Amino acid sequence: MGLLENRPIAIVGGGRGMGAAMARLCAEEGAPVIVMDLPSGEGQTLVDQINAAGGRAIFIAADVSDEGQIASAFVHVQTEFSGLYGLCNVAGINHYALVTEMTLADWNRMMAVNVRGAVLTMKHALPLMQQFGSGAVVNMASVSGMIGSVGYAAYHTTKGAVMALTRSVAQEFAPYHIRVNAVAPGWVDTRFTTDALARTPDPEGLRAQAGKFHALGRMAQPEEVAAAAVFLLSDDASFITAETLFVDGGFMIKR
Amino acid sequence: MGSLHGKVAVITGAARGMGLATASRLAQDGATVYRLDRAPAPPINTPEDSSFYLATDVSDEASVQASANYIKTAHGQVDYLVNIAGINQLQRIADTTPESWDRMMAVNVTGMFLMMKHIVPLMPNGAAIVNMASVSAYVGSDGYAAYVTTKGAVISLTQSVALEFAAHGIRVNAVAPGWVATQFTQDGIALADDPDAARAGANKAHVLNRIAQPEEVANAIAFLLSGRASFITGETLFVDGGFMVKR
Repeated sequence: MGLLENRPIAIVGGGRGMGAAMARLCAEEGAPVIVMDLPSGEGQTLVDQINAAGGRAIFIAADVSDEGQIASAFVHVQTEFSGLYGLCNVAGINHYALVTEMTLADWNRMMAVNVRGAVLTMKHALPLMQQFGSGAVVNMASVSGMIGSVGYAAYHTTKGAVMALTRSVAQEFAPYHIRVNAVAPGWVDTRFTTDALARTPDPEGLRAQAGKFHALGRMAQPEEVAAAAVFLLSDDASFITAETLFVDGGFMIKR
Repeated sequence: MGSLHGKVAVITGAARGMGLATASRLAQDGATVYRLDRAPAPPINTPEDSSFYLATDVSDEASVQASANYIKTAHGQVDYLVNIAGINQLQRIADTTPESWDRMMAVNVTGMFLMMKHIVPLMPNGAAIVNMASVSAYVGSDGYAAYVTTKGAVISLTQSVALEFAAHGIRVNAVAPGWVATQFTQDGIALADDPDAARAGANKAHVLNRIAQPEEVANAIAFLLSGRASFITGETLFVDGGFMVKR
């Protein structure tokens, strides 16, 4: 008996990286899984693998920066599952730009995906979660929401915003028996990280350094962040809401 | 049967409340549980109670050392340590003696130091520790300066030993509950001028509009001890039903 048996869970940005790890782990715990992501072959391949392994999963193509697409996606969820228990907001982008050189369009794009996307998915998922009768949301924050760095002001801002958003929506959704939390990873070994490293002057040097930023001396695997998300979704976290759980291998406590 | 079969857990303050609930949860999951307390511990209500009681005063190094030696002889290693033993009492600064201040620090903070000092040498790579903090670490409380000071100290202690023990593959985290429905809390509410109002006020201090059951804190502790939390260390996990974010 899994921790999430028969509780439909939507994973937005579930096509790859931490989102894909969450989709797999939720399915292993018995949840029907809805993988939402930009149209690409990865999401469909993932749900095919989950279904072949005896789970139940569907893929819905959607761009979280477009409310019309999000609304349609949750209408689609409703026709398939009649209610929704869980929502994981993992979709996010990162982009190097000094504030003095950043265009307004770049700033708006980052906010639209990383923050407004989560707002809109929660808005459109809520009626389905009310129908299910209880639920849990996990948003993707980051240690970046607590620190700063040159060239990533927009990204840090979005992750701080996700924590503040989580604290407020947790109060708004509490009367519906829906808990809202966030996970805040440090460095995670995903393509998102590899791509970000590729835009720095010394990608290999920084990758070698990255492990040492953490007390555990290494980056996280995406499955380790997914395991924390599954805990927050499960009844083991029944008294945890409005919380940001750092899955950071001791990044925050180390200098 | 359980996922913790073959594991050895040591829990302080395990006679009642959150310590008892944690002992029950870990025993249900299959662990052998050593329950340390000053007060005698009642049996755990499971079909197969695989727990042992050791009379221990965590503020007394000789007592801690004796219990550690006993466990070492019996089992050789300890996989999980949960430091829950703690005391609380109303004492305004003007009424606080150095002795009563020292007593609070000795049980709530020094006790954790002593337990870690004597149990960690028995811990293999992959072991984990959870310390009992509280939302009190971050929120002041009129008349409870000594108690809230100890809980802030628990978080700082946890962060530093997480770095110290990382090299041994041992994770160290804290849990920070809000109000929990323990005997201690129920007794306090019963003593209030208007118990019903006090109970309602306690509920309303949390986003979830209720206080926690000890089992809910135990479940969070079980998660932090488990392999599911393999990348979590130095963290304080609030199991507070949204207490921290509400005004």
